[in-house]
Amino acid sequence: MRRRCAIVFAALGPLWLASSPGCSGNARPLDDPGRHVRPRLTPTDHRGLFAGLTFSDGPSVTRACLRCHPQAARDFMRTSHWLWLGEPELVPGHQEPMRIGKRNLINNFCISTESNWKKCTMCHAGYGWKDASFDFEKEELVDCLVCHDRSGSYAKGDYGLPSEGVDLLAAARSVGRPGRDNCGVCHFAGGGGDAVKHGDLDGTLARPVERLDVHMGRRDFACTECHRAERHAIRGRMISVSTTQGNNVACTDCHAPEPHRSERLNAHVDAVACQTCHLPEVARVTPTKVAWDWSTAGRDVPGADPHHYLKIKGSFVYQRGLVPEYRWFNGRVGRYLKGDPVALDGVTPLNPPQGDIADPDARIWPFKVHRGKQPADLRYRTLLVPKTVPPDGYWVTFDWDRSLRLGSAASGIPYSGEFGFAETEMVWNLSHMIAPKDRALQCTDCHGEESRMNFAALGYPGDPADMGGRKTRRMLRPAAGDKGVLP
Amino acid sequence: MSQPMQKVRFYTPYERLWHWVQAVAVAVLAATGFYLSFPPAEGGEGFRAAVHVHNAFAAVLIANAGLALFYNLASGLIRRYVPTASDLFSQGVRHARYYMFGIFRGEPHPFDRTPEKRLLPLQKVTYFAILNLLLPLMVVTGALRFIAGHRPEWADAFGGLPLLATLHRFGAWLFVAFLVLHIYMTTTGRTLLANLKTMLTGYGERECSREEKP
Amino acid sequence: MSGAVLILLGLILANPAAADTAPAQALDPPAVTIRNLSPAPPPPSPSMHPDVILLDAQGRIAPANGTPLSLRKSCGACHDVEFIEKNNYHAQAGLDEQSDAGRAPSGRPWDTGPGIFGRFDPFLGRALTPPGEEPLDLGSADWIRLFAARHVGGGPAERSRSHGGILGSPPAGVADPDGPSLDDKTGERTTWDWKKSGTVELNCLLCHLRRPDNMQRIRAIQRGEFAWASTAILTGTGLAVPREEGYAWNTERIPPDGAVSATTLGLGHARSDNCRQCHGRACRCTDPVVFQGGRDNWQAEASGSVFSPGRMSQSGMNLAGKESLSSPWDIHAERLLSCNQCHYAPNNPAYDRGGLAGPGVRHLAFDARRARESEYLFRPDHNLVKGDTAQGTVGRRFFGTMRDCRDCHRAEETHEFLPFPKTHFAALECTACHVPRLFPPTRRVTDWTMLEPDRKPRVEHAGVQGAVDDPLSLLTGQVPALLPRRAADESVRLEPQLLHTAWYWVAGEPPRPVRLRDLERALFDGDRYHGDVLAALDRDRDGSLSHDELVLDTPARVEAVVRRLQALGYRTPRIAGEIQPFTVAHGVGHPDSAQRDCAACHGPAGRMCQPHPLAEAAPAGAPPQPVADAGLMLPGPIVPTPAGGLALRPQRCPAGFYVMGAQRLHWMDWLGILALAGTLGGVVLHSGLRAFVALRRKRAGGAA
Repeated sequence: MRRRCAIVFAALGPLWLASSPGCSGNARPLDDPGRHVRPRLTPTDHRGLFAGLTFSDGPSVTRACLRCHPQAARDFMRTSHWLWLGEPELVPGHQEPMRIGKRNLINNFCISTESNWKKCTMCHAGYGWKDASFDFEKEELVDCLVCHDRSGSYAKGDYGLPSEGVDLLAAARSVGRPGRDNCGVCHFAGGGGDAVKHGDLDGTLARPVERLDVHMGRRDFACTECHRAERHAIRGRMISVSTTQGNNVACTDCHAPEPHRSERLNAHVDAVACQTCHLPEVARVTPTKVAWDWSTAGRDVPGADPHHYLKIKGSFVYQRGLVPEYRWFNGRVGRYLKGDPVALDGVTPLNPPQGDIADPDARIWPFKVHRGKQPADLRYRTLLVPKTVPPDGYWVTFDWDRSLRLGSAASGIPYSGEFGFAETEMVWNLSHMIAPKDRALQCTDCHGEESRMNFAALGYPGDPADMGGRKTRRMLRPAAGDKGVLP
Repeated sequence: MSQPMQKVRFYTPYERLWHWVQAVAVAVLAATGFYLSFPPAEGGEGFRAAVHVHNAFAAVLIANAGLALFYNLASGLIRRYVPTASDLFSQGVRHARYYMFGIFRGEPHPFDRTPEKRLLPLQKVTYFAILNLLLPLMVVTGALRFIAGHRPEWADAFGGLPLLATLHRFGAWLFVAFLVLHIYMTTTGRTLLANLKTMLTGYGERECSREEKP
Repeated sequence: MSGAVLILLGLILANPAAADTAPAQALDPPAVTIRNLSPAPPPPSPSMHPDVILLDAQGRIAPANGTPLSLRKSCGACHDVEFIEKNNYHAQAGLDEQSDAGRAPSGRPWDTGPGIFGRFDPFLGRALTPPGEEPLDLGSADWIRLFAARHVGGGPAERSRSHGGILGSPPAGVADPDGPSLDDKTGERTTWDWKKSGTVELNCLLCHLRRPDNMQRIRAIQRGEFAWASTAILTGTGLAVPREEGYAWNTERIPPDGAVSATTLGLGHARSDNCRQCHGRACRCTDPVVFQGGRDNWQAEASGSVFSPGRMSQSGMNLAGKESLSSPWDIHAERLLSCNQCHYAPNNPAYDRGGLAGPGVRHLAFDARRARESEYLFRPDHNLVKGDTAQGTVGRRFFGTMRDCRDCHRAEETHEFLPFPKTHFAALECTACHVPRLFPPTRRVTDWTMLEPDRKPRVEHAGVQGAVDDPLSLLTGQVPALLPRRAADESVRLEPQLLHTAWYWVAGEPPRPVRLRDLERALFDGDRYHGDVLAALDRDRDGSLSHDELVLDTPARVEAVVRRLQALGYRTPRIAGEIQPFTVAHGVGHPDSAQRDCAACHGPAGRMCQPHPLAEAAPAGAPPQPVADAGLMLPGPIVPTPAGGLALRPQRCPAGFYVMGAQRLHWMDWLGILALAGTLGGVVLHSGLRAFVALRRKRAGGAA
């Protein structure tokens, strides 16, 4: 009994310490995102594994890979990186589920891969996609090196074949876990040049400073830290080629859903995506393309700045330090499909984000908006696909009619022979280049008189800081069950 | 040295535990208290931590003292701590004379400590004063200072924080003085470390006493 | 990359050829023909204000007649301008609190009021001359011109302090008491022509215009074109154009009936930017903050207040440790508060707290009875609610009326970590911890006793390494002094204060400040220092006075100037020194930047125990004293520093407040220490004796 007393006694001291308020100041425990980051595995050293082998071409390397990784190609060939098509999905405004992807969509940059494989498939992780007859079932055509080469010497050329003079053996010996530069070969250079397409992805992210991207700069993340791969299926999706939710990478994969110490900030997370505040601007170093006008192409302008005009492509607008545009977004987008009607007077959105102020699933997201003016059929009122690549495409002949006929033949879009140019708009939701938190937006960036937010366009009766948000104003409609995701 | 020695249990395990808990608590309180009164220029987290350690051990000390009070009251052993008139006068004088003269002449200790009468006259007087004056002073001033965080008016009723703080520190000086004396007095046993050993093991040697062999 | 190289190659190849054949044939690349290149801008918020008919003082259409705009008539068509001007300490500037010289709360023998009209400003070094006195330093018209940048008009710029009527219209048969004026060039006494200049009426537009042209307003006043001030402020809108004399109306933009829309004018509620024109111009709303010294920025220079939402790390200032300063300059600005949300008009129905009913009626939590919107708009009370600071001496009856920290913040909810919260809250102003460091450099010393060659006083700034006007100087910031101050409600609390020390010459009995003009005559002989002054101050005997030599730091040097002033007829000239505290009330940063280190106060090195530097150099003589109306309580003497400057050395650390860990030893501590020392001594003595005896016995035993 006495001893028990003594034990109770001895425990009192530490108990006090533990219960006393504020040993640690008033910092309540916030989330610890670091614990969600998986430890990196050390890749096997492949330097000594190719003794006596010589590689004549890409497929010969793949065959060597498959000897030890027999399932790798099969796994990979199920992914959109190979197929350039997603799973069947119900695109808003269309009745039948269909598979869409880079293979069959129209954008407002280089417009379409169909008929233009020669250049477009330079970024296909396969060898020799020359035309629609490419054999997607042939394992040896998978290009392992473009993602796994760590020597930095591997490069792809026309039709996705290895460039002339690439030392395939050296590349094969160097293979390892994909780094930022592997992904960047295609994803930094989307749209035909560094930083052109995304705005939040460019070559500066290969070796970023902390200020540019806190994850890659401060924590030295590789892309695969967030875009984790499961049997070569890499997480993540882009609303330019996919309309549904699922397979997303989200901030909340690692961060608590309400991670701020400030209650008021946490009250924002229902209506505002993390990126909205934590991405004050994109294209912070390298300018990104925000407008592309094909209609002015074909003129000889000696000495024109290639950021303003190219004879083969038309006129552009680039912007550095781009302040995003903000729209409601519930994770889904609509999508312009081949043969859909196009507005010849107005603007046709190619991938309009879905959701509005009343949609409880929608949040205000930052977007890069790319505005385009591209060939359209004046009689059938559809967008057209030009063949641009050599030897007989527009970039050589500067003959729109001929290019559009060739494109029509490859894509199956009927072409009446009367063409013009239609304005289109594509949006790119932004998630990379997250700034350190002491550079995030502050209240006055969006609220008050000098706001970057067009609250009227978003559907608010006024600045929600003054008038109340959509929740206080009871503007939300009940959550809808159907998200449009197919099983 | 003529008497044969016998091993006797002076302190029960609880009494020893109580003593050492109290000893540790007082030592920690004195140390942290000193640190808090005279913090280094670069304090920061250390200061904050010292505050909490001080508060925690004050709680330990109070609880320990309270349980001991209950133990002594319930068992009636409290009587051992109450000095009698003779403790103050004849016996006390005899006790003091021993420390002033006898101890140097190598005289035997004038009092035979038994488990029942383990406290010497002057010890009783000192402990009585400490337990009834100094300890309550420290507890009350300390508690008022602690509570002042939430009820500053209570502290103000007792003269305000400046007075309470001064009293608390004054008591602390006395406590430390007592500690010094207390530790020194342990060396005045049969041997230098005899009393310390007794408090550690509970057992001490005593001469077969005069009472037993009249 | 390769594309760029190709283009470059093309350029190199093409250029000589082009030069040979067709020189001016460069084609512009076709521009993008997309119509909707950028998102549609948000619609402008509409103005409810009706058109304003621009009238002159006679009620005629001002543009049609080419006469100066009168806001009393134009705004007065709908609003009670008379009421607004009278209930307005910004306009009155102390005119309604005038007293005889020497009876003003400041205690200065020549001060006649608590506001900028009548209260001596050591920043400027010139004093309003009490009515009827000689020699004249500042007459009414001189005051108006000198204070053009700081005064909104109305009050003393419109009315006579002697007879209360309009300036320049004395009662019949009396000489104009407001007539005396000092000619800028000659320094001769003249009589001001009020008929020609008109008066400066309360300028509503300074605060209610989106883009007021304050520079033109100040220019008009400084040129003595008082009546044109209201017109001048419209220059930025393009409605008025400055002329050689006065202003012209741009009648192309104004219809014949003189009606101009509120949108054209940019009329609206007073924004923080309007307040910033006079109160700390360091920033505009979202622009990077760039500090500029000088008179335009006097409020930031005095009190260090920067009310800007921008992050310090993104300012244009060269701040020490800038990269880590992620806090905004003022968190309230960042959280969208504007000045007038704390300093509101007391009868504004949206903010009125029902103050009249409130305290007396305990059973009401909210009193819905208040001015209706129409009543408020007709007669908005412009005695804006205000705080209680050492420097805000005007409108004493409104001290502490504003919404202060505790009216909005529940500090108890957020300070769980703080030991003794109630004690801290009772003893400290919130700013004590929430403004731990101020980065705008502030004026610490103005020494008018000796003038620089450019006739300016010697000034020192705190928080800056190097010249204050040099953008490359490192702004180190400063820790304000935490000093007790008695507020208007008699409570004493520790507040962060910036101390400005000024020295200047006074002479005569009752004392009056020596006029700057006379001081210049005393110190200078043409463009050079007077020989006597030079001889006394030229320490290195190089025939000129360097900046370091311009201090009257010995009685002999003081005496040299005294003799010069005496030669000009001043009797008993002497140096007066004063300390004006500026309470730090703005610049609250993000909570993360607040003071959380207990040892910053609770320790002997704490900020309340350390000497606080006042000046790097000081004139000889008695130390300066705080001005009487600041309520400042000095916790210790002002002592010379070894380097020849002055410092405030807290004697009773820390200033009468109990600060755990920072107080000095009490006599009871000494008693306790004595007891401990006695015990220790006794123990040492006793144990020594025991050891000695034991040793001797052992030796004796060994010998036996």
